[in-house]
Amino acid sequence: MEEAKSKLRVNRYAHLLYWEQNCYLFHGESNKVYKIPYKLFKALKQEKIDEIEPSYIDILTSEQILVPEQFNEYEESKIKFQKAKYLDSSVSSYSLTIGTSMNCNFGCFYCYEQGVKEEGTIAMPRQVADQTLEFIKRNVPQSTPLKITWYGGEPLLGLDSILYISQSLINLGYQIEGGIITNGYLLTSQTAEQLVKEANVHFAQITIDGPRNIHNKRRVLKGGGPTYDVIMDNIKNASKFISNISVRINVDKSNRDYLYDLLEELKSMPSNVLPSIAPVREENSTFSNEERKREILFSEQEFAEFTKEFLWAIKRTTLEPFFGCSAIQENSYVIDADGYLYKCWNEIGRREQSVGDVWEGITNYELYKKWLSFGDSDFPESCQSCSVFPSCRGGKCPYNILYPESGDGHWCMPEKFNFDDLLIWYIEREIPQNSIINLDENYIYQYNYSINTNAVPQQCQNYCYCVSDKQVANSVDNTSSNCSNYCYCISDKQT
Amino acid sequence: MRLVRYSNLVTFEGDFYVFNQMNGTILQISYDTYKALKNQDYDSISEEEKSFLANRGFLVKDTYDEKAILDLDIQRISHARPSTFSLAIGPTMSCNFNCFYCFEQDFRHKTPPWRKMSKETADQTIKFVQNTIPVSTPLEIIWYGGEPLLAPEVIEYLGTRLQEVGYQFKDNETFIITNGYYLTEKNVKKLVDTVKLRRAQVTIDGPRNIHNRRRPLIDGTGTYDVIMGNVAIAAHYLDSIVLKINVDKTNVEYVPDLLDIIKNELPSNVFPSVDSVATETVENPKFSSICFTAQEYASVYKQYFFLRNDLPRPSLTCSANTESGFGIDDEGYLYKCWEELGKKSVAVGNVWEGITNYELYKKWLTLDTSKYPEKCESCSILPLCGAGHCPNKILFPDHYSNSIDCIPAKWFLEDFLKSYIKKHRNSIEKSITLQRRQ
Amino acid sequence: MRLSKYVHVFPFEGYYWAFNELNANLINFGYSDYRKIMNNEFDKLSPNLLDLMKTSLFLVSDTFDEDAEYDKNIQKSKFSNVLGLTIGVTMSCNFNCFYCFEQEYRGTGKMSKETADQIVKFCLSRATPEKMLSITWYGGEPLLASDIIEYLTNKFREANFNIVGSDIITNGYLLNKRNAELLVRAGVTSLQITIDGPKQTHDKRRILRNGAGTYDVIVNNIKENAHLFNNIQLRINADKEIIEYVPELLEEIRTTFPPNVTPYLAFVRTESVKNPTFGEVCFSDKEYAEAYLDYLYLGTQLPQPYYGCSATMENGWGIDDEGYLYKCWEDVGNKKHAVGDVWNGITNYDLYKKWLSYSTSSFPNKCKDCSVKVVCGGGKCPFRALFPDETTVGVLCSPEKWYMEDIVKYWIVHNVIPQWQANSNVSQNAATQATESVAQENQKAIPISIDLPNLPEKENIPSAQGNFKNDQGSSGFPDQKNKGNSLFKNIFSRFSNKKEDEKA
Repeated sequence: MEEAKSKLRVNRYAHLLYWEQNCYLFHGESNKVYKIPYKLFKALKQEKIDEIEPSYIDILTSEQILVPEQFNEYEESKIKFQKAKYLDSSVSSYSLTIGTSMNCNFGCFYCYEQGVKEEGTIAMPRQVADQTLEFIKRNVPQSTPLKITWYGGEPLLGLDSILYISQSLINLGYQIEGGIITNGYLLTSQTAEQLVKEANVHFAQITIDGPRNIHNKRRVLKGGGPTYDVIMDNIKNASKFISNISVRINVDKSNRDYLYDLLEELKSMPSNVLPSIAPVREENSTFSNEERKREILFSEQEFAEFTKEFLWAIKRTTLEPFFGCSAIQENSYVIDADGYLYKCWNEIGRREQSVGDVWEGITNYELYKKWLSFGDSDFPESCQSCSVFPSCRGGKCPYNILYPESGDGHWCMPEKFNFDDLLIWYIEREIPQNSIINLDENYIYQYNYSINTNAVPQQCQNYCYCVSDKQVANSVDNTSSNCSNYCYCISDKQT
Repeated sequence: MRLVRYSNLVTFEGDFYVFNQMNGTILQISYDTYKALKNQDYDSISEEEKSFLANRGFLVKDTYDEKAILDLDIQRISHARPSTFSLAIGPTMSCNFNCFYCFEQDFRHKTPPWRKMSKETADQTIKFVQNTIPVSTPLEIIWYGGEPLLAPEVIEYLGTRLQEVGYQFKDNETFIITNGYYLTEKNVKKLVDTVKLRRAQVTIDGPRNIHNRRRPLIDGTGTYDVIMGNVAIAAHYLDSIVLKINVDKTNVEYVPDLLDIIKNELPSNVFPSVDSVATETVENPKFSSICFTAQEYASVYKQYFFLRNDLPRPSLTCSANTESGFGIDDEGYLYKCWEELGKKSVAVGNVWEGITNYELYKKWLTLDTSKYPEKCESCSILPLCGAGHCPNKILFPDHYSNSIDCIPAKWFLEDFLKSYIKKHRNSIEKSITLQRRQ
Repeated sequence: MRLSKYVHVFPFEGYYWAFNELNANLINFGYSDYRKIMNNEFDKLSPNLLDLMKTSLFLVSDTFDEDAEYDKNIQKSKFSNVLGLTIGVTMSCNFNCFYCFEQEYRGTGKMSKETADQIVKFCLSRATPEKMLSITWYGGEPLLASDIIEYLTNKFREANFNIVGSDIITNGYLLNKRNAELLVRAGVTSLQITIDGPKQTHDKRRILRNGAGTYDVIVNNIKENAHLFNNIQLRINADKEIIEYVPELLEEIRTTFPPNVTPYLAFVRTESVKNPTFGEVCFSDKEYAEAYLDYLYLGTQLPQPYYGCSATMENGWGIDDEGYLYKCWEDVGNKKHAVGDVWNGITNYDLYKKWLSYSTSSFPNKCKDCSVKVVCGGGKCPFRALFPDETTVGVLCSPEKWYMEDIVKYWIVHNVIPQWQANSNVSQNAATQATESVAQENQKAIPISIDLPNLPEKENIPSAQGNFKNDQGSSGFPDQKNKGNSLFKNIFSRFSNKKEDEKA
């Protein structure tokens, strides 16, 4: 088998970084960050495997930093992706996104629920709520933690259902943890307190699109009317009750210049209120014409440029391997105010994309299977040779891959074009310093010692036996005396 | 009232800063102030803030003439009553090395026996100093050359005599620039004791093979091991050693290797510093192809900026442009510019007679911004660069074949500022409105 | 709403029973409920029964896709946190059985230390953080290389692997005291040893290379050393010749060996013997099914959904003595089917992925409308389903195809009725309620005399553990927790798990 030993090469998903005299290696697949000596850095960077110290080879291969020539990172990564879907979801929580209203009191131009929310059910009817409870009882064991995100439309239009469902579940013995996505207009102090006490809501995402005059042009009441002051007030008050408030800022080219103004305002908010920036995407939203759309919306490249300045404020700036959102996992559903089931938030309210309902369960298996089987041949072609695939996986949004026609298709993760900066940020600010594995000589010595000590069996058996079935010998001096066949010695003496 | 011309508005991770090149200060300001300054909307800034900014030199009268102020600064430096006097003394103009890029090649003595400053010259040097410099003025002494450690006894003699006749060293130390070959423990100990040697600059141009090709002895032998060995020991006796790395296109890729070696093998008070082999110092056109252009070098500098991470400072001149600095070679000739040590044609005098070439001497003190090359007229980083801050090149352009090199800040000032801000975020002074907000 | 496709409804012992292949759940109810169900009058059922049937997927929506549900579970079963290895420490063997499927690639050497070391390194690169490992020692005859078993086990331990299961498949001839103790030290807890009938038949088939018989030595080894292990499975390869001697053998086993030695019948089927002259003694599908029925009592569980085996699992590997990697045990040693080796890892990604693509779409056409698809899973052998061209007859049908009801009835007789008899002094609820307590209290006393066969005293065959070769049952793998929807299993756990046998 000696001749079959193949060459080794550097794993495509291993990124090398030389920063301020320290050399780092980030393994995109395992999410581990190593600090490595300069010599090793050089050898890896120049792909000169022969120049790597032999004592390092073992650990580099077991960490899959060095891989055999034929190793196919892409295939292996996709298999890991699928594995994570099952091994993670089978033990942890059940996730439900419940739209308690399919209507909304706002009329934002970029809304991706256009076409469904203008005439939608204002508040979830009691029977639907009850049936939703039945659905949950049928599908979720009480011992499984239940994560509920209140959604819509504008969920606070259906506040009753939020409280009713939450209380019922708690009474049934479920452990629920709530979050809410709301425009914030109706989030009075009293409501916030109720949400916390009765629905265990610990997280709220509220959108503000800029300083007052900018925001008031974009996020208007249905029929017109400003919303900024009310929302800001509400945020300040709600932050006393809800432990985590994320101020989402939907940026496009028409409000990007005012971003700092808003960020300045937010500096005066309590420390549990944090900004989070995301680009306005075309998903399901309609624009009057193509030109206008290009004028307003970022293209993939433009947003990538944008992230260079705002790396520190963009949501999902993370290098952790992306294992899919809840849409592709089993234990998760989106339920609209009429009781229809979906897999993805973007689909809510669009009946033709529903996979079932809370009475019948899954009825559209085709669609359901499409979501659940996501992860092998679905990825765009360009992912095959991409070195940031584990962190990105086609843009961190299966919806955009499965339904490109609904918008501008999938975007590569913007930091891909600025990867070193992201890596520096990640190493310096995001990960705990003690999680960095220091592959210095000491470490290597310990590692090698632990796997390579000569394993001599504790007690020598002095025992051999003969393949041609002569009598079993009982002592070492009795081996193969008159026999031409060979024997095996259990204690690893010579055969 | 307006923002001073040579200033920069910078944003970093949601915070806003303004940097004044004229005096090298940086301030954190509020977004409102930032916007106002950016849009020149000074009325929207509060009176309190405005006076705070004016105080720090950020806001100036509309009629403020920055260039004139710079000239005044230069003048002031030139003619100020000296608080220190700097002397670059070459106890010998001989050198045991044979670096290809040496700018002293033409007037360096290359073979032993080394030509050292004679005792008479040394004594006369002391007399000259006594005649020229009040004894109360601290002396800033740089042992130079050639290779000063070829004549350690001269150093010892001069330094001791100077102290005996009553002079003090600035900061109680002297400084040496050496190739390190003779920076032996014995020499170092001696000089530490006798002439208060505290800091040294030694040049290493790369890992062993690279360095040995570039900085060999005259007979070609490598010098790396000797130097590194010396530095490792000398660092225990000295406060600090700067390891200068002269980079050009042929050795720049080995800098990380060398930095790694320094980090692992040398004590922590040995600091690497990256510098460029300037096209100028190498007159052989064959070598000019390997030297970096200013812009190329700027990228290298940026890459290694973290080694210094200091705030850019205005840099308009050097001691050559003052009345309080001389270079003295082994034969007692006086110079304004150190780089001319040994080049007797441009000496301004000697230690016996003092200044002999008054015209030349005076010319050295006539630096001002009008003498800068045309391209500097509209340059946005004029105060930081000072047209290369080399009065020699500005005043005597015909001595040099190439034009003046821009400094890296020309391309990367914002990056340097951001790098500085990132490291020192918490210690940067806040403007008054920001302070009120705390 | 409708009855789910893979639900079998039948009358037995005064009740109607419904068995759901998808999750191995079993319920019963009375005649009137049965009529309602058959007439699709589900709304007329009692709310409890209706709810139960909906929750346990007996009743499903019209558009419910049973195969998709089954596929979903197959897919889930491909992943586990345990690295499963079948390691052929040597491809040589001291026996010379005519039906051996490894005849063509029997070797003479054993695994070298370097290969063993490299296996550990390979495993390190593929282990999950928990580093759980399950090993089946294999070959050839693994006890010919027992030193390697010990060596490799120690290497794994030094590399801090957590060996959660270790077993061995051996002909038993070399299971003397010393080897047995070595195995114990190496953490081996169960063994599979083959005995082909009583001495007269065994010694004609399972012979040494020089032709000598092996029965006595094997029996003696087992008698002396069985107590050192959790259990020894005695595999009996029955073909048409042997089958008539099986009862005799079973009796011998019962009387000779300690209770942790359990027999099970494997039937030599047409495929495993490439020699055409032996095809005559092999069982065809249906013949096998009949024989299977006769020996059902040897191990009873309700038919379980078949989700694949270690070959379809992402981290199930066969490794031969030269370090080649395989997915299927039967391929171990047959280098043409290797998917890679322990130095290079996977080299044939296409082949590897093909194994992982096992699903209902791998089943042949004849399975399309089969009513026992879920428990048969394309013949309980992914190899046959995925690579039909490499077999002579393709997928072989499982006994349930003909005898599903009988098998379930057998189970009922052994596991439900005895409970009823035990609780006969408790007053009974109408069976139409069919609530969770249906098996516990409140059962009607059944004054029925049933001819129950002589049940063996010992424990049933434990659920297939490790990677035992098993023609009939689903092969178990250690992390088999997620078969079907765990919620539903809870309700009928009493039915689905084996409990102690009750004597007749």
